[in-house]
Amino acid sequence: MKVSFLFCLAIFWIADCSDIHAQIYGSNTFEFQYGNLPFEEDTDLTTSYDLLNLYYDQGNISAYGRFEQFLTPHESRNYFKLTQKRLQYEDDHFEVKVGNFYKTIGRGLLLRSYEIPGSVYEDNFYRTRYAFNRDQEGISLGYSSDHIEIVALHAKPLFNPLPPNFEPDSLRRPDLVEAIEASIILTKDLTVGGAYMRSSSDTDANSYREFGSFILNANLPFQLQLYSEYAFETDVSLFGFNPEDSYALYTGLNYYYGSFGLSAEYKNYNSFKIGSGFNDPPSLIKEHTYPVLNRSTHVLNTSNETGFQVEAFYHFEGGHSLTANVTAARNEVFNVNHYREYFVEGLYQYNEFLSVKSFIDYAIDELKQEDNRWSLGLITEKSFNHEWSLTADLQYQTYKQTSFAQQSENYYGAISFSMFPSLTISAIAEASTDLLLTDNPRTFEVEENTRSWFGGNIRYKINYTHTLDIFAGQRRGGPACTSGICYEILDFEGVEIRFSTRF
Amino acid sequence: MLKIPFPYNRLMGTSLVVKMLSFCDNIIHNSVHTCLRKKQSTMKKLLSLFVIILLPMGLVAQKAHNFKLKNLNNQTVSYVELKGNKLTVMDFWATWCKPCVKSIPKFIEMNDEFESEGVQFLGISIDGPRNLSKVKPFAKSLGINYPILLDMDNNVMTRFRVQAVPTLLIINSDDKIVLFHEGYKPGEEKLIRKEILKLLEK
Repeated sequence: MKVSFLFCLAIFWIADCSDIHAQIYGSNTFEFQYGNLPFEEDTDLTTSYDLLNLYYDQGNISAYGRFEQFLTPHESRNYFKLTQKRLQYEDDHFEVKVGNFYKTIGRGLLLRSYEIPGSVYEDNFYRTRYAFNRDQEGISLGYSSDHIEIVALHAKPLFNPLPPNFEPDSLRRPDLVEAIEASIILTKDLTVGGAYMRSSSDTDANSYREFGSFILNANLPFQLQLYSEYAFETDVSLFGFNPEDSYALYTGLNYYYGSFGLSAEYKNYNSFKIGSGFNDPPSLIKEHTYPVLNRSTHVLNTSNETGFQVEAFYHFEGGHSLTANVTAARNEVFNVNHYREYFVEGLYQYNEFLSVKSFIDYAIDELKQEDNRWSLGLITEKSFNHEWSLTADLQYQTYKQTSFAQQSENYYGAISFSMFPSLTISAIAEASTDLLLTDNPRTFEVEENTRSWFGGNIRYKINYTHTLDIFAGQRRGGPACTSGICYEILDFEGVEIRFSTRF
Repeated sequence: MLKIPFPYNRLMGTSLVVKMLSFCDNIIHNSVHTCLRKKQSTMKKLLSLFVIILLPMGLVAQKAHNFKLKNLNNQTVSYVELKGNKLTVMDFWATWCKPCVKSIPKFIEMNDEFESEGVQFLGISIDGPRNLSKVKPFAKSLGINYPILLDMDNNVMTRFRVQAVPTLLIINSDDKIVLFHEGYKPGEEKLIRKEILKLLEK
């Protein structure tokens, strides 16, 4: 706490003494919840969460601090912490970061960090809310010129399933990572690079695992572009791909011609979960924003998974577009499991006031025991004189749950009214016959009645620095993916108010 | 004459409404806390006070900082190299973002219209490693004719305080962020166009 106080004082003092070219800016998100988890109707829980980001810039130097506060009637869950702090120097060639920072090596095969701005994660076990990110805490040094780029770091990645108030705090950063990544720009179309990384964990600080990687990035003739990365534990035979080896191979090839675009990717990962899981190789699974598909996502298994993804786009004159995606994955840990998905989406722009979007998706997910999963959707958006608009969103999904020998169905319907540019009001209705959702885990009987969720949202953009969001009703939880990161959202029933500020 | 030192002078140029809103945000927050907490240490109180003081303090346009990112051809470029003479319009987007697909063709039209007047559009893709391979074919097939930069770790996005995509920022020749537009509904491009024209007149 003393550190937080001194950090505040330091920022305040620097700002006060500095010239006019310096600036302090930031953002604040306050979220208040009053409600229940489903099947726990009589446990009304009032929580308040606040996230404050503060930045201070002066010339090439910047400082950053993040404060998080969570309050409930349960004292043991409450916290107020300086959860991130950073001092940074940056010029045309050098970059130094001390504190908390985000750095991904290559495409994340060895090390991946991320932040989902604006997201507030609620932990299922500790029932604590906090910002969802995976940063590194330590020091990072970077140098770049026209021909070479180098980054070296010594840091502890965050193990984000543990909330900020978890004690001892050291368990939230159990791994130490030391890495150096270099890229040599041979020509404007060809870059080669590599990385060396060693990691140890607090449980055995003297024992290191060592990794290396090769990276190739090339702009090829005929508007082709190739990216390939091979990462490996240093005690394996290079490109041996033996079942007992730790390795990860990722290759992506893309192409465009006129209004046509194509991306083809291949993965082969084996025994490649490093430390507490601070690496995150590309999953090669289509990222959907449609609710029925978003929560049906396949989560990558880095212990053993191979597969590919091909996606094609075509953008027609007049704003119409067509997207097709084929995905296949195979993993083997105890059993062999396959995942296959075929997806087609079309956007038809009838005129500047009316658009229709639809999708159809077929998938087989053996790991989740979902067979013949069909998903359909139709979204219509009608604008009235560009002053207000109405959106209707209907989605349906059905699949056979092989474990229950039962056909399950999911329904999603939303209607949204927007007044430009500040007000949006939405009503959402969902229903499911999935036994994993309809059954109350607190009773012996297996409830099979269709379960439904009804909720409403209001978003009011007061001005460009202040936004108010109000949610009331029931919200369906489950797996969710945003910006390529998948996590679990808890069901919720009640009222939620969020006030976001930029300053 | 009394000279108000930085950063307190920032308070003087902001509207009372905006200041009150920020205070309300903190008052609600702190009221809830008061109801919920039976104990609060002196240190926590002091820090809460800091939050209250700091929040409304800087309610003026943020200045854009220089940054470096890779472009679609894997070359590192900086904001300073790319920015427009009069205005820079920065669009944060992603391949998986549905409203972005609708807004980008409108921005391509606007870039064509205003390019000769010193307005430069910049697209910043926030796609992570999972979708990075799709960015170039997606952008090219859509016909984007302005520079696209790749913010894979979201470092630029968070520093510009962007919380959702699409978000559009307009930055003037003094590097001040003069418009921050979150989300997109068909027709909103007319508001953005009007804003660009207004800023060009200044």
